[in-house]
Amino acid sequence: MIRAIAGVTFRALAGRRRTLLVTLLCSLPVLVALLVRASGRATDLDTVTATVVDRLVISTLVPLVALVFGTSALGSELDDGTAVYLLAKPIARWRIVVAKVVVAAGLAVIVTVPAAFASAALLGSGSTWLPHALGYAAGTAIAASLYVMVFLALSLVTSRALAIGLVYVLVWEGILAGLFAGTRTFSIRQYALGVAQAIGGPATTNGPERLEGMTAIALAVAVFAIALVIAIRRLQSFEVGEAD
Amino acid sequence: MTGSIYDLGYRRYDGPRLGRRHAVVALFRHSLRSVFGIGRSGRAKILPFICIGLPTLIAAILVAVRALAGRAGFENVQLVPGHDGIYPVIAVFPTLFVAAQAPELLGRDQRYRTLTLYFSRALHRPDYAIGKLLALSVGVGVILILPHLVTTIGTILLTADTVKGITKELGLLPAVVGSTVVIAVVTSAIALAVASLTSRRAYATAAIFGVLIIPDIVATVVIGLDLGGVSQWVVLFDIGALIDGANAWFFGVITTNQAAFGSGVPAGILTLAALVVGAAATGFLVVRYQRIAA
Repeated sequence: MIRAIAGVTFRALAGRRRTLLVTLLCSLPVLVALLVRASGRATDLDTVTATVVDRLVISTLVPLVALVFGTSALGSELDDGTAVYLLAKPIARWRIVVAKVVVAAGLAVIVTVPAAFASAALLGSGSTWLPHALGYAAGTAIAASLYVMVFLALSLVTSRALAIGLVYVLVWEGILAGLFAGTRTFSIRQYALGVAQAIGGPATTNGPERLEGMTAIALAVAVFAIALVIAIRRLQSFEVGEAD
Repeated sequence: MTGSIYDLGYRRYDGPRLGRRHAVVALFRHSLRSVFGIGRSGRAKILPFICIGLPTLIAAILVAVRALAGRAGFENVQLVPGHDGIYPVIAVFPTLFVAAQAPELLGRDQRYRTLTLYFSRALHRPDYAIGKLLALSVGVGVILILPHLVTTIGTILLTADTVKGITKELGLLPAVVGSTVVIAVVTSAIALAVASLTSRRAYATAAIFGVLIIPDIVATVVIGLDLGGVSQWVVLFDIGALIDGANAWFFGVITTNQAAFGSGVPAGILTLAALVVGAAATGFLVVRYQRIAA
């Protein structure tokens, strides 16, 4: 049964036209990296890497993809009212949440991680390119699954998950994180960058100092667990037939 | 006697018919209310009011910084963003606003098939598109104008000679109004054009967010390479740079957008390009609603 739920979710999220669009979008950083390499004119590769991988992939593409997958994995069924058919089945609610998270997060990771790895690898130089690329890939994977989890939980807490998710991404991560160093403890992007740096070694940083690798992972796991628990609790107390 | 059973007393409507103009105005007013979440639940008001409140707050903080810096004897209080520099500081809020509200304006009517009802009335199809565009533009305009208003009040109060302060602010009025109108209409037109393509809110929001933000990052990298020749013109695809360029052109200052600045393309051309993109998006929206199934 879980397989069936996962399968249905997969098909709902990965429509043909949508997958094509997302793939095109995620090939953008790779194309930019190729252009940078081919031109051979980049004077400061570290800054370019930070712009392409951090600003384009981790700060923009990942939240964007996660926002779509995370809020629509369960949210669109709740909106349509078809969630009732799913929830009326004798399946533990936590299993439903887990199945949805696994599929949505898996998809988000599959589309974004190759983009991060490839663009970081293309922009890397000397002997450090591999750890750098691996670091960014790991960071992207963490960010993607964490964003999906948080947005999915959000979509169960409020019907305005999309708007609140956008505010979080643009205002909190976009503006405040650049101004207040303390916000890094509560920023998914900073977890990703912390992990990337722990694996790939220091890169030039613009903005607050990175989190320690272990701290970043611990925080990421904690946030994931909290969001998962909230999502499960919300779905467990969701009453079928309740007018929304 | 048979008539008495079947005659339910139906009558033709013979009151005044208010016509097309009234229909457009009604649609505009209704859309404007829903843009701000007025008449909707409290939750629907959160985002619009964040988008109005925070930029105004930021403007107030900037005025306060200018006042304190002036009193502490700092000479360069001009470094604190005034009318010309406020847009780059608050640019994220109009983006957020249109990404969340444009799908709200169009998506429901597509999803719940209410377009049929609209188009069976005096309202023409282009009227619908234009009415929605005006409503969203006014919404963005409010977000943009309030910080200017705060700055104006602050500047007048900070100037010892009140008459001089008012004259100075009046001189900036055309630039303030011009930049606000252009930025509001262009941003709204692009957002609505994208939102008209899908009735699913999540995808529309993500797409608007992507269209308004991603080109700027790509253009910044490409222009940073300084490849020369035609490569600088990639800035024309960067909507963020075009809008920032338009803002800079109206106030006669240098653009703060990295891509726009690096490309060396004059602000006048960026403004023109912004207008062309806005007009193209409006045209697309109108054509889309001309053809949309209803």
